[in-house]
Amino acid sequence: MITEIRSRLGYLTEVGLGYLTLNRLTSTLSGGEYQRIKLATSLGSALVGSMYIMDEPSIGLHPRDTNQMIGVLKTLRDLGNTVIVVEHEEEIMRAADQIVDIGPGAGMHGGTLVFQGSIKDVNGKSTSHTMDYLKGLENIQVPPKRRKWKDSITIFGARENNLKNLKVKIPLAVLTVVTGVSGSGKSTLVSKILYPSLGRLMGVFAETPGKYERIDGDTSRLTSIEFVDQHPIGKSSRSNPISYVKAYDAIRQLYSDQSLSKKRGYKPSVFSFNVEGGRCETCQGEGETKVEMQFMADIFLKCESCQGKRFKKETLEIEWNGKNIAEVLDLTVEEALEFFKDKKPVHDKILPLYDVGLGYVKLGQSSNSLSGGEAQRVKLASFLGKNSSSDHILFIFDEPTTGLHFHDISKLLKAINALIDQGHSVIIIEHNMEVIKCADWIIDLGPEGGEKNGGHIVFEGTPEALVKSSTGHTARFLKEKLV
Amino acid sequence: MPSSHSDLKDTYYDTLDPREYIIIKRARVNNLKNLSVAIPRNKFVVITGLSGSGKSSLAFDTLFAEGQRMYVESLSSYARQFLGRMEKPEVDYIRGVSPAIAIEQKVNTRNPRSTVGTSTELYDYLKLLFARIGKTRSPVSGKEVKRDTVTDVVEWINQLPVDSKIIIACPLTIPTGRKLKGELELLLSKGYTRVLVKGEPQLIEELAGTKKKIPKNTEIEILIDRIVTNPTDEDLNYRLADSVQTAFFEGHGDCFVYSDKKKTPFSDRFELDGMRFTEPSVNFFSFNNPYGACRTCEGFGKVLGIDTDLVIPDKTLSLYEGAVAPWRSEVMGKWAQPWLKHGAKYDFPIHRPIADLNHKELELLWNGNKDLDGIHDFFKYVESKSHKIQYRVLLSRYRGRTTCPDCRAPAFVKTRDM
Repeated sequence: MITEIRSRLGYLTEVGLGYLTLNRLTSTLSGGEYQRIKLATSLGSALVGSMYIMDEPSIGLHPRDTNQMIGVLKTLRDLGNTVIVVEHEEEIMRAADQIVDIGPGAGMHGGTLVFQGSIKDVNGKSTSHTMDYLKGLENIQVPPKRRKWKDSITIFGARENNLKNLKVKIPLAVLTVVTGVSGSGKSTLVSKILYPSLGRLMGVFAETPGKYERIDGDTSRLTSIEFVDQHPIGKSSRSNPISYVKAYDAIRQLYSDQSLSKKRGYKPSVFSFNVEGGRCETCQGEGETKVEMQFMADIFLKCESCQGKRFKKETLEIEWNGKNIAEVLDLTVEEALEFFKDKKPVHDKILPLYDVGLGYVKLGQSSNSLSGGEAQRVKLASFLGKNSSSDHILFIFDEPTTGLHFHDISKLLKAINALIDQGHSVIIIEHNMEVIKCADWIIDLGPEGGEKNGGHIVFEGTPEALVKSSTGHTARFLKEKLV
Repeated sequence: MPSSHSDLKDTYYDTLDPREYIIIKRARVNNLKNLSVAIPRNKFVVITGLSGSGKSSLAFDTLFAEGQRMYVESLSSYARQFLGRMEKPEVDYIRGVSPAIAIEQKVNTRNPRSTVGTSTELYDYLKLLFARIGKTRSPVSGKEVKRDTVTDVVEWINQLPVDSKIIIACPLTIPTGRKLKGELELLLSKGYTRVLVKGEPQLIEELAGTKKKIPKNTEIEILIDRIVTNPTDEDLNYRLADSVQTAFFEGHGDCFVYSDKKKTPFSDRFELDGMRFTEPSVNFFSFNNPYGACRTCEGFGKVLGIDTDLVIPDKTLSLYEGAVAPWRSEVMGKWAQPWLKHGAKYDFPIHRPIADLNHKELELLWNGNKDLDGIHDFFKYVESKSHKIQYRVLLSRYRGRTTCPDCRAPAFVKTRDM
């Protein structure tokens, strides 16, 4: 029995969860932690010959912990299992026996097998973005110079969870990255103390802040604070990306301005599937009807009267540039940019979606089918579109690279830098070295995770200074990226 | 392994051995475009690609979905009616699918009883470990609590010097409403001949026949057997075991052994130093079972109470500067006044930050003494006035989930309370 307990505890430390206490509530764990607990549990079982399918096990892991994770995955394989991992993390890809690359692009441009094999099999430039990044043929540029800052906010006496009475200075109007190994207190500092306490100052609804003494500095410089997390933007099938970035209004206006609409007296609301008027009433604009099967899962059938188009026949008679409103909703963001290139107001509203790397999403795709990472980027796009120079918003991103490929990370960084150029401030909680190396200011927590060894500030400063100081685990991994 | 697959004929996949590869032919799930792939078995494979390129469609919607569907198909049609109908993924065929285990990222439990320990199953092992090899110690003498078995008693007797004279006895309990005389006669009819009165052997007939009044509470024990020890005598050992067994039965769990007038008590109950203990069992070590969970917080470790961090939000302030938040207002300020006036009398430093107070001073601040009302007294007063809305509002402002005062959050009951 003791050996059983020992081996299980061993697996838990192996997957990088040594800092958790056994009586920690499951509901307070992050998604990544929970996944690793399940992984440790499966390691404990002696099941062989099965197929383990995992979704990004490296999420929330510092590069130091990722290496341990790879060891665990290999153990699982050596037990006689097939381990299939959906992953973007470079270290894990390098460790894999085989890489299956799907692509080459996203959405419409994806869905084919681009490459299969190990890294050694590739020579020269290939059609695969993944391989090009791994081979270093494509890479994310280190910004030529770091932005300087003069305004800042200071938190005094942060003591929530494992934080050791910290005094942290957070610069404004630059890109700040808060990093550290898993369990070092990054999220506690930013989402339990900084966000709620500033939120209260700004009058934004926020939960009770964690233990801290006071917050000081140029808080008056900020007009608002936004926490851009990975929660879905809407569970409703009626919400979609273009309505979230407010582009739908402009499109509806465009259609109601057509001469046929004028003749029939159609208002912009006719072109909405959420209100009565122009939508198909049989399915109430859903495009499909639900058939309830008593013992089986409900079946969704394409609406018979509108053939899934969501609108009445009369509404669909109005066309612009040869397409009706239903066909426009079926366009991907990329196609829509081309389609609306002469209509500046619509084009400008859709452009941010493309900028954050969502070019493959259909305009009318319902929000509940978007992944967490996609939802986060739709939110980001909606802020990019606002573009008002008088505001100084402090944006906080919690691991925005989750689910992102190298190629998308560079797009995301461009979008985030665009926000800063508009005069906003950005704080990112992140482990991804590609993001860390592009930061203007780094706050590294640690040195280790957990109650005893975590919660100290290891380093504050620019990436170059961090490498130079060579303190902490982050410095070691960042060094490889900055040469 | 060929590195470029796009030019491969589809028939290539038909020739592969499903014992070596998991073969997916012409998958059309979501945006996959007739994608065919052979994934080697027992290998560590990474599926990658741009966001939205179809990685998850391949891994979860095709491969895992098929693995799960095949499992469900293997069940009887009766069992299948309880499960959701599973769609067959849009694919020509998938060969060589193993039982699939998907480890996703969703934390899908909000149950406050689920912890890291329970979900790793470590907790189950720990419960067993404690229940099986756990030792209970008496908080009074620090000795281990044990249940004495017949074998224990026999072994103890046999370690005595050879040829010691011993008496095995057990207490005579008289049920309420019955007389001593009646009990003695009953003993006689059961075949016992002697009792011990104050440790002295006496014939039952004599005691029953005596005119002398026996005072109540006189210690009377039933003499079960008299033996001269000899560990090598097997028959004697059987007799010993028999007698001890009888003693435990007649004495309702108690048995005494006299050797040289020295009385050694044994008990087959789980007790020591006059205290009864609960025997460790698996349920006893589970905070999810009423048997082991703390009574006050029912195993949650937290109860609704006054949150100390809300009452003293900034620990760098001193009492004088208004460290106690509810005493800052003009009306409630009167609770702070006595402290400011008389604090010095009890060595209470009103100008020192709360964080620097020692344990005794903090205790005083919270609990007060005969002259000064502490913070707890204040809240007791507020509670007594809670029929007024303003007091209820005040109270609710400082209420929070706090550590259970009874178990201090280990969520278990103290053993000796049982």
